[in-house]
Amino acid sequence: MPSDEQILALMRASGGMERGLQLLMNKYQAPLYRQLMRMTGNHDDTADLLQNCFIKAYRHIGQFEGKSKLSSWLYRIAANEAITFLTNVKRRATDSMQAHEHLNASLQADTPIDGEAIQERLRLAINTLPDKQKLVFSLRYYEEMPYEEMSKTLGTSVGALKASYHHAVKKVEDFFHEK
Amino acid sequence: MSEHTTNEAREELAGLSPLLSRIRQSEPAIEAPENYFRDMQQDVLWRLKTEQTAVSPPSAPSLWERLAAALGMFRRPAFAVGFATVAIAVVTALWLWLPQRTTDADTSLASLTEEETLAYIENNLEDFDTDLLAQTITGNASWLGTSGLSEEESTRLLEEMLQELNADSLDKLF
Repeated sequence: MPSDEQILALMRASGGMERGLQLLMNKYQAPLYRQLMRMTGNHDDTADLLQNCFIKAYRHIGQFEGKSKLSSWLYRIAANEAITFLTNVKRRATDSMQAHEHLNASLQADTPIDGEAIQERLRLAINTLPDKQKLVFSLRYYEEMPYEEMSKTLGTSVGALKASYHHAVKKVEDFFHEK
Repeated sequence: MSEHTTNEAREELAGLSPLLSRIRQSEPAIEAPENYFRDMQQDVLWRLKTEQTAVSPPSAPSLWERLAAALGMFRRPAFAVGFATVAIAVVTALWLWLPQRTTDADTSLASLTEEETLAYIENNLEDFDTDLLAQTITGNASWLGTSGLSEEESTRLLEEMLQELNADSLDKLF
């Protein structure tokens, strides 16, 4: 597996852009796919967003300054793509009600939480957050990105990021307890 | 992310919200369909090549393409109405202008003296129709007296002119 530096050097070299992009995709396609699937909940939307993500990376690689990790930069692009997409998609209220009923049953049984309905409910909850909080929540909750790395990627202080994440967690939890 | 970071993030979440922590741990495994990534890479590269081609400057349109485009323009109501308006204006202008030219010509001819007119006819005799000459001669016999020519000279000139006329013209003349 080539290092990020090798991929970047190839993408910035004359004539090496396409090969560099292929290596970039080989290395990051699976984790970015998982990230987008968690946020969108379906393969078709994820497929579209993942393509957009790599095309944007290809176009803007010259703007990547190397202050943060390449992976963080890509996660940020993917999260932004998903947030823009989710903002434009209006989820139906019936989906919300179904997920809510499943969740209540799982919580009362105190058993391992059954997945897909809960994940859908979680996506609905995340979609109620302001865009910046969505981004912070996604990078911390799903990618478990360190605050220091997030700070370099987003250009926000660690303290502000922690506060934003804590508020987001509280809002998401409140969403689950709503009737 | 490193294991240390992962543990730190999970501990933080467990402290903030046990519910979300449980949901996070119960997240189902996510796998892409078989061959999806191979196809995705091909699609990305194809899209980039297509967009680069679309961005490159287009070749100059052929004469036929330009003509078709120009004709196609008139299918649009705004252009059709505009074109009709211009055509009507041009026709109106021509209609107003042409009589003016005729008037100018008439005025120009009227400003000529009789002597100048006759001199012009004499010099360009071949250009005139014989009927017209006959009318000129019969209708303007006075010019013979006012031209400053003697009777002999006038007679000789008239004979020369008559010789140039053919028999049919003479029949019409007399």
